[in-house]
Amino acid sequence: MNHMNQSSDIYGYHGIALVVDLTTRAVRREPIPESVLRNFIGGTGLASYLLFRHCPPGADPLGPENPLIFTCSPLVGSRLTTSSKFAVAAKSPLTGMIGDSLSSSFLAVELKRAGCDALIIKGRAERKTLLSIEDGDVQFLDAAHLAGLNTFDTEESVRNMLGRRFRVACIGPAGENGVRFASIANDGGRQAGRTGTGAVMGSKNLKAIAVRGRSPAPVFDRESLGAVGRGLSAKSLGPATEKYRTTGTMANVAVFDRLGALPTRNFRQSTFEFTEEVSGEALYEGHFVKNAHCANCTIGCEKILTVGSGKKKSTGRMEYESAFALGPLVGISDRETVIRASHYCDEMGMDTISAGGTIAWAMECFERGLLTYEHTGGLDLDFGKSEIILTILENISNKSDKLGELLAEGSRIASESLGRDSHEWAMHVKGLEMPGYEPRSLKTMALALAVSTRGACHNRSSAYEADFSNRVNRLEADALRGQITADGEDFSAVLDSLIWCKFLRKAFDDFWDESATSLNLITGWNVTPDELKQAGERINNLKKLFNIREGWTRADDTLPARMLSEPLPDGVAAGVGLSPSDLDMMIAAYYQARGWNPDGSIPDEKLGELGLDKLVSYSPIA
Amino acid sequence: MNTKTKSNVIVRVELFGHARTVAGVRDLKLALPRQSGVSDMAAALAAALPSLLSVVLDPDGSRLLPSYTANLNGLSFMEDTPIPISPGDTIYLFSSQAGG
Repeated sequence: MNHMNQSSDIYGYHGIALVVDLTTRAVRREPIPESVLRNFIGGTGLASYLLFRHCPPGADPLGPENPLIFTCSPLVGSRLTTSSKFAVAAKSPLTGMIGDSLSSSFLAVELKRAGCDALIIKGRAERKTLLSIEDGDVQFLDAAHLAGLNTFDTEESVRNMLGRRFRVACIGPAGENGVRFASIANDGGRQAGRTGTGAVMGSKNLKAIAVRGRSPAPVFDRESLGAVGRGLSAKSLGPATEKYRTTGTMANVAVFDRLGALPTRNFRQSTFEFTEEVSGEALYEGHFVKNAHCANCTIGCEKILTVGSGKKKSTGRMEYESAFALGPLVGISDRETVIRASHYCDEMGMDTISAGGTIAWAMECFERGLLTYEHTGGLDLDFGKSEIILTILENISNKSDKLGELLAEGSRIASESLGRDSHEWAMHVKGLEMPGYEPRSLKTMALALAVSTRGACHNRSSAYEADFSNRVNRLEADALRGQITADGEDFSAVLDSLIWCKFLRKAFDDFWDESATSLNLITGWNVTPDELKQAGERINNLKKLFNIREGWTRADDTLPARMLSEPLPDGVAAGVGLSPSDLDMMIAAYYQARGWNPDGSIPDEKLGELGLDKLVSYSPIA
Repeated sequence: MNTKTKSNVIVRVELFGHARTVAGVRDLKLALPRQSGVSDMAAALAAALPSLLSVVLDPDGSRLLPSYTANLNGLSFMEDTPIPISPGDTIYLFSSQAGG
């Protein structure tokens, strides 16, 4: 057995990236300098750094040169509540820019115990492959027998084969077939959902990764950390997490409807007349089975719902974004269909937001005569037609017909392929489909969606928090949104790099101070809250730098045409729109808050201030 | 419904999430002063739905717990400072944990 040695006397990390080349089957351990760990922390920060270093400029996202990167964080293995999380990054096949996603639970723990802080997968295997990593010992196993299995069956099959102590990240048929919004699943249905990392994994002929480890990273002051952890666990069971512990995020459906913020029928409306049918309350009352927890989590946010019985029984997770995307966004009011569709996406390994967003685009194109029966194979692609949703999802994940092949590309590429004015109905930013937050009635969110480095993302800024408060008038644009969004992004970057679960964020009395304390007790460092804040800024600038290298221009920071031309027709925000000049004003304020040039580029002085200037001239690591 | 006085107006309060589950009702009508802060709404709600005490409201019913927020007509969030309330207004009571 090849136990990996820690690179130096550091705590909280191994200081090692395990680099695996599927083409050559070469494996090497690449030291990660302590300065890099301190500057980029872990999670999405470290993943962004490694992606910048290992991805050649202009790489084909679905080509062997695009690295698929898994990163742990210093908190993994600390037993602090909600800290068993990992990040996945690659150049996104949806956006052609930085793609990253988070997931959680036992896989994070085993990956860290395997003796590395990051796993970098390069190349393309000749045949379908299962990568087995046991304490740093890497084996390339044949995975022909796993071909076509869904994510749940794949995970079970691998664990039955290698042992139950192994934890598995895998793709389903969607990833194998190159669906651009395919996800990577782990631990019984957890999903690294957004930006299509599952398609990248599939492009490498990599069906699954199984990990087991016995080498936890040492903790500098375990006793003091234990006291901090007990306090945090107690707070995690308080009012700051009540929603997540009870009805969960799916309770947003009805609230957003009342606030005129629930995207409906491809963002044509901001309320849904059948909201009560698919509200979180209705889903909870009619179908709730139990809460589920990730490893080392005291909150237990996951709502397990079930429908049907016998062979038609379907049991799985549900949260707001899936309920919105497979319900109101496509006009579906039948909650059994919403639940089944969400579970099906998890089985096939597809991002529910992009799946729903792309289907909603197709429905509008069908209504407008841009898609015909010839395209749909005779299907009536009407909004609200619940009986066709599962068929469409099946055809997408298997690319089994013309429509499935088209929609598997995601709404942007599909609209470019279909042509005419179909792009006007594609609700994406930079190629990533919009989440369940109506930008016209949530102006801070509008800005955050427009400028986010990973496309239409609600998670990398949490900008909606300002909109759901009296801090701003959410229906009107103003320049204050620039600083609010930049601050939210920097906060989120640190949250996602340490990694704390988003649902813990309000449980801290002082997020920056408590995070610095936890990090220092784990690593023995003397990081200050201000240093952490600067790390957040550095990480966001690095993501932007990656995008600039891949061809980003100012024109990419925008919203779909509908947002800038159609006022909302219904609800409390009826008549409210967002003018192009108002969006431009907020974007200019954001660039100014970031210390960027008016065209959105990063000045050399800012790169120098953040220590990113040397990175610009680095050659990619082969 | 609590006692209606001359200076009070009738509003509809709609409950969401765990509040609805615990209360067992989707909405109710309350009489509130024409100038009301969130504590006025909390007190009226406590009288009407005692099951919400210690779940949505403080044990003495004087305030909302930090885990909840109240929004007037979908447009503004109620705070301690009283604001004008009109007959037929709707107050939405939901989790203060935004997003997800």
